[in-house]
Amino acid sequence: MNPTPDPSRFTLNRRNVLRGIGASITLPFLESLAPRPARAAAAGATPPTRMAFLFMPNGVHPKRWTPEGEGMDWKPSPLLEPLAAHRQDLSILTNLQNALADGGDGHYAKSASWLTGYRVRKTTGRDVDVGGPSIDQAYAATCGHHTRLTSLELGTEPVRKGVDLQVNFTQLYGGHIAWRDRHVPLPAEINPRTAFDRLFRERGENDRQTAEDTRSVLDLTLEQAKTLRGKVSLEDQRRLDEYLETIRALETRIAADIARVASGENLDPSLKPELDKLRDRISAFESAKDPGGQMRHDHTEHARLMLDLIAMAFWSDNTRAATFMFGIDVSSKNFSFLEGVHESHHESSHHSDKEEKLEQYARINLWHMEQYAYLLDRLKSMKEGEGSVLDHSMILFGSSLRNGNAHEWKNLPLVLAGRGGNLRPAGHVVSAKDTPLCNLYLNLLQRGGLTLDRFGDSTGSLSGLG
Amino acid sequence: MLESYCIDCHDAESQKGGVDLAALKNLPDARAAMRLWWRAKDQVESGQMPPPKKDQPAAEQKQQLLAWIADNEAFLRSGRVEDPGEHRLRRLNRTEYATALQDLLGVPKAVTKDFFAEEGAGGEGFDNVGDTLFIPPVMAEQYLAAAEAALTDVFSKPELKARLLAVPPDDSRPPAEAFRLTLRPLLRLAFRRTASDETLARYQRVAESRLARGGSWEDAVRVAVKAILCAPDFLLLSEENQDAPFWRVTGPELATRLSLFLWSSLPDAALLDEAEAGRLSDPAGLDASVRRMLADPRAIALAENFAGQWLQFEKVLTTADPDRNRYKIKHDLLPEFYKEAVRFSDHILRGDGTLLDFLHSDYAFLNETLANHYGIPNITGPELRQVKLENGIRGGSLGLGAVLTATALPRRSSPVLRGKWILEQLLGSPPPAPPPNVGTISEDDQKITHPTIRKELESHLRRDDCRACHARMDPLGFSLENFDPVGRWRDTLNDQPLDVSARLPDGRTFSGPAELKKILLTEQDRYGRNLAVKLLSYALGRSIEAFDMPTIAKLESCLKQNQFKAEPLLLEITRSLPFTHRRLKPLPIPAE
Repeated sequence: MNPTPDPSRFTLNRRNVLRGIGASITLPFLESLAPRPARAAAAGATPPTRMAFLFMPNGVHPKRWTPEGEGMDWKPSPLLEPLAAHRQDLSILTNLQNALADGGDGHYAKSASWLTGYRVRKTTGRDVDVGGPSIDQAYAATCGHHTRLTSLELGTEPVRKGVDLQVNFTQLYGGHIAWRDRHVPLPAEINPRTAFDRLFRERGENDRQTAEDTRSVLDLTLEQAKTLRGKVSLEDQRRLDEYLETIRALETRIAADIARVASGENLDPSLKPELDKLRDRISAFESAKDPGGQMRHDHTEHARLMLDLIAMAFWSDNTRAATFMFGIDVSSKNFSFLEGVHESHHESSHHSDKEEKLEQYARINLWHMEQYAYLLDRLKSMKEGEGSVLDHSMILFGSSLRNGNAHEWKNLPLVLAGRGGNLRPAGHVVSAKDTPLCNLYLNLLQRGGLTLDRFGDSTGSLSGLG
Repeated sequence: MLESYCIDCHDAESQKGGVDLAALKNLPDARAAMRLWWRAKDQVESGQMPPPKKDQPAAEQKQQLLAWIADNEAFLRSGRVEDPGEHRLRRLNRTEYATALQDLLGVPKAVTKDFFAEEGAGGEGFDNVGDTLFIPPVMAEQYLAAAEAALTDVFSKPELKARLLAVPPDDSRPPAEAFRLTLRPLLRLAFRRTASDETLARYQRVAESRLARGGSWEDAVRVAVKAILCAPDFLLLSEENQDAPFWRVTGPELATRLSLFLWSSLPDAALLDEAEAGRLSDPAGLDASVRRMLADPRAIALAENFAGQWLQFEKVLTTADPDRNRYKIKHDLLPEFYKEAVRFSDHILRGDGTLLDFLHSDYAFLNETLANHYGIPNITGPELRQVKLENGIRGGSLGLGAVLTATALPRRSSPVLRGKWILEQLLGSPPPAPPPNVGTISEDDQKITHPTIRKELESHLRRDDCRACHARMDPLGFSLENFDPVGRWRDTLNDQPLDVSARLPDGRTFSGPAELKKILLTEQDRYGRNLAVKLLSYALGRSIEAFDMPTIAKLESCLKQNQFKAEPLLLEITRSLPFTHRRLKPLPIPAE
């Protein structure tokens, strides 16, 4: 990997290749992609490393987060209480900041840059730019071709439609933490059924025929695009090429699927009971869509289904990079299903230091920690090699704000779990004040096998992690 | 005056309220900063800026600034700038895609819409803005899956299937001819122009190769249609490049702009006929097509997609989340709100209403559920019908359950959010974001008394960093406190009488929703300009820039001359320079 700090480096190569050959892409469709060995046969091989990034909107109760003590000798703070069972797998990270998120506005720019570490361009949409790809995409760029999906982006709330003409930001910044490159956000899927189908749709007998149909459809599409390309402006050709790139990605994926079917490999049978259970839960969730209660959906079940999808996607090695947004930034999710809470999320974060409101804010934070603990439970229960999927994962939980009331971007709340990439839990890691958040990202990417010495505004790899 | 009284706070460094005057040192930049001057005018005229505690300019200096702003506005509107703006290639958004498939194959929108995530917005806040219609890596996969789902739907419904397979091969008609006859009209509609022989041959080949692989005629058509639905000519809205500073777009290109604007869909065969016969380049021919399209049921799209996003009432189907137990509402109320808002907007945009009815109307569209909810007697049955209102309370967009709910919190109405909505959506004069560390009032209306809410909000007026905006927002919202978070009428909150009196920064006082609407009707200029900006932006799929001001000026006078009727405005937009023309490189704004 080229170590120069060019923020676009992860995608430039592929795109240049594509542009270089214009639209005349002819992909040998059934090129003998060596089928991956069936998972059962792969026992003994080193399990892959996974990364997931879980985003909590609107910050935390600033006084109930940081634990007492340092290193492995730490005492859970009230908000970290739900993670007590996992303390052997955790690093709590203190004093990391996302400095380039300063300025801009209170929220949108901070969540858009949470995983990129660059300054976000102020725009109502004309020239959306977050400076570089997000860490999950940087990782996916190196391993995404091994798996059915390059990466997985999930959420629970639709992105806000709107522009804020006074702060001059499009609100879409607040709905995207995953960025393919500096200009292209990856929308989070919020429908568990759609995500399930993309990940696990089973390959049947008819697939070869369907795949050949698809092949002719895609070939024709590329041919057609070539004709169109000559008629539009250079600027428009770039957009056309973006679409062609997605067709190329699809061709590759389908070729790999076919190769898998040809080799007799399909979904690992041991996953089937778990998948059936998950599918049933999704059906139950859908049919209870409007239980006539306080809420439109059962929010806890919604979040858990999405987290289960990530766990299953990792276990089945259908993807190795995932992001999850518990809510979009400035989420006004109605949390009155929690006892003692009658405020919506964003409004409770503007607590003006009033105890009554802070208490609600903390309860909403606590709910998020419980869901994070749920994911860790799940990953730990999934056996893989000598250990569990959690042993081969790095799962970061956090927010783009510290105290939501003040829109603080310093000393962000962050917890890292798992032992992927030889990560060893380090307990409460207190870095020097104002250490860049990107130092953590650089460290994680290096553990993920990337050779690079800079990410975002990093000044070096974070020290203190085991 | 700017140097002495404004730049301290509004320089490159502090940028208070997001305003940076230092960036406007040279004249063209200053001229183009249209929106900033609109805001500055509002603030200076009403005495909100400079803040009372700071040094005040002499009346004469104020007048000088206001005169310059007025001059600049006049300059921009004069038409000395002639620039249609750019029109970048974009993809169909999810609504347009689903509508197009419905029109093309008869597939209900619900079958395909869920394959795509909700899109963000750019420009003036619409989801048809090219800049923010990204092409994520899963796009091709989603299009393919959606096309498969659409075709599965077609082949499971005898009438749709028969329509698609109407010209099968038989003794007198070899397969090659049957394919051509089947695919040619479909290609024309999907690609929005008559397909070349080369293109037709390509799709025919795909079908024939499917036959050759042992498929049936049905299988073969299915593959070819799937290919049409994945083609860039269908999915991407591209216009041909021409070698000129700017140029009039071709007939079929204009037809596509028209159908996206008025129908959120593809042109139909009749519109393509007009386009290819050159009749859209003739003003009378263009007007005739627009009138026909507005009369077509597909034009309901304007109410759903333009009004739905502008007035944000579509939020009742997505993010609005009122506490159902607290307010004892049934699950079907929010969809009813939505239907009411669409019907009301459609009546204004295409029926007998006028655009001023969004500010205030003496009618509403109600059915039994809505009438019971609003406390209006003697309406039975589920169908919506126009009802004459007896008082000034319920009419206008501010009487819509959808708007009142979308601007409330789950467990409390919010005078601030409602006031902000009026300034932003109706009057186009949005307040800046609050500074951090400001806090909010309790969100549970059972935990707080009404006088307390008012008192807390009135504390805004004592703080410098709050007053400039809240003095404008809060009074508007106070007068709407008679509507609870789900739009029902109330006179009391927690057994205490509501105080719905209000006082505007300019000293005018009023009380309650009916009087608020009278005040709004005095703001027709501001409302008209905002409406022109929003509708033109939606029509063009881009934000409105300084060089669009001549068009905006025309639209504003069109509104005034035609008593705010919608049809003349829509016609004026479809005739306008930016709607009918295109350029690549920006044309300079002259300094003088």
